[in-house]
Amino acid sequence: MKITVDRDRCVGSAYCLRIAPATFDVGDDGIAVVLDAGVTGAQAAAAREAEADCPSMAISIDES
Amino acid sequence: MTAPLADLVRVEDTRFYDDRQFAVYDRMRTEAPAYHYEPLDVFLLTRMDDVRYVSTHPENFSNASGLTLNQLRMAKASATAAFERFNEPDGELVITKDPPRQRALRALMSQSLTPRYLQGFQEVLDGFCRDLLDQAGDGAPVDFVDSIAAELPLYVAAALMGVSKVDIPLMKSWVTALEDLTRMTSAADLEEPGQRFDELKRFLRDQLERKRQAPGNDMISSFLASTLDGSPTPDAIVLAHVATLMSNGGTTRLLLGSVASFLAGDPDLMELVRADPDRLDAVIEECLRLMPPARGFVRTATADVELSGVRIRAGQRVYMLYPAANRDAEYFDNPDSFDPGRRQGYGHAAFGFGTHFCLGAGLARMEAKALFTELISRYSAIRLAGVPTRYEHVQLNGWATLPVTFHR
Repeated sequence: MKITVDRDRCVGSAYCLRIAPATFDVGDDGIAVVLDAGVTGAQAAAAREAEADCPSMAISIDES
Repeated sequence: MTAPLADLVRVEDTRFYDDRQFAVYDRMRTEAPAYHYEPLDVFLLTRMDDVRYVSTHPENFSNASGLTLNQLRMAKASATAAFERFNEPDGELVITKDPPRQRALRALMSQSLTPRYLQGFQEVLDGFCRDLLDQAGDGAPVDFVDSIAAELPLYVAAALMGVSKVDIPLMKSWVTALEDLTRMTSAADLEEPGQRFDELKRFLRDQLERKRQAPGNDMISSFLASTLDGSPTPDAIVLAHVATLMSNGGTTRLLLGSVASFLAGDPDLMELVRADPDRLDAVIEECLRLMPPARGFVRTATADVELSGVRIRAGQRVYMLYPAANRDAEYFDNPDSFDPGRRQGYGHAAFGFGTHFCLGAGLARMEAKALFTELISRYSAIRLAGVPTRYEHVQLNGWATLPVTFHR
């Protein structure tokens, strides 16, 4: 799974951090970063949820 | 016989926004999802898809030519000059800009509101909540809005800005003045809030000077130390953003009042959160969805576009009606019911989407969570002690007064 955050789109809502804390963090610049793209199972499902809920559509997940 | 929509859609009239508004939105969503409101030549958007699309395409929908219906009304009456008076010439408010400039200005603020920064603030916030509830006391009726909901965000803003608590009553009057900006429809009406706004600017300039002399660990100091385009951020921009932070007090007040009213109106809900305080998060999201503190924002099309099959020409306006989008059955099952169990918790439009997503969203949620966590740990019930009154405002949504009693 390849997870990326588009820095130009990210608005620092921190939804991803709330939904999938194993995968995302928000840095001191207020922009989300990917901590661990290697998550599986429930954590991967949470990461997909974060992708869907991101209010600025800044997260993309490539399943391949 | 059903009335034509044109007779029902009275979005500039505060009386429109009672419980009957939702049936009108339901009709608009199916009959005319991009409804042309002729008096202001603005298209009213009621579908979540359209609200999301407009919010996430700033290249086609600009923030720079008005944000509220009263601004469009004033422009029609050639009163824009009066409205302009409230912005500093070089103030550059982030919400009135489009990318890429908007991104640079936003970065200045978002650095001060990161989750880590807010986490460090939790203890102070919890202390404020305890103080306010101590003051509200036991048994006797209190106006939840005036004594608690309006106060907490100002305590928070003062602490974040590094301003003395002594100035809170003044700040309260300025929040009202700022809210009047989006309510008034004639230049004459703006005169009085205008004078208070001038006071606010003097106060903030004074604070800027103090922080320049003796910087602290607060937002004004970090704004002053920040750079924009490689140079120190201009004072006018710092001032505009500090005022923005303070105005957050208004919408947070409305959110806190709405959570209190839902808890007062539904003893089962109170029981639910008392049994499991973590459910407060979902309860707060439902309050935001059903009663979004800001009802909507205007955008101006910068190119010819089509929304829900309706042609919108460059220069025409759209108005995103958040309470309507938040009850779109395409997005929310049983949209009119209060359901803290719903999965689509974050999908509502209360904080907007895209690049203008509310900068204070995290802070507002944190304040609501802290206040009601403390409240439900003390009391088993909130009850209405009188008839609440709605805030008479076209753009802002919530209670003006909410008389309640607390019960152990």
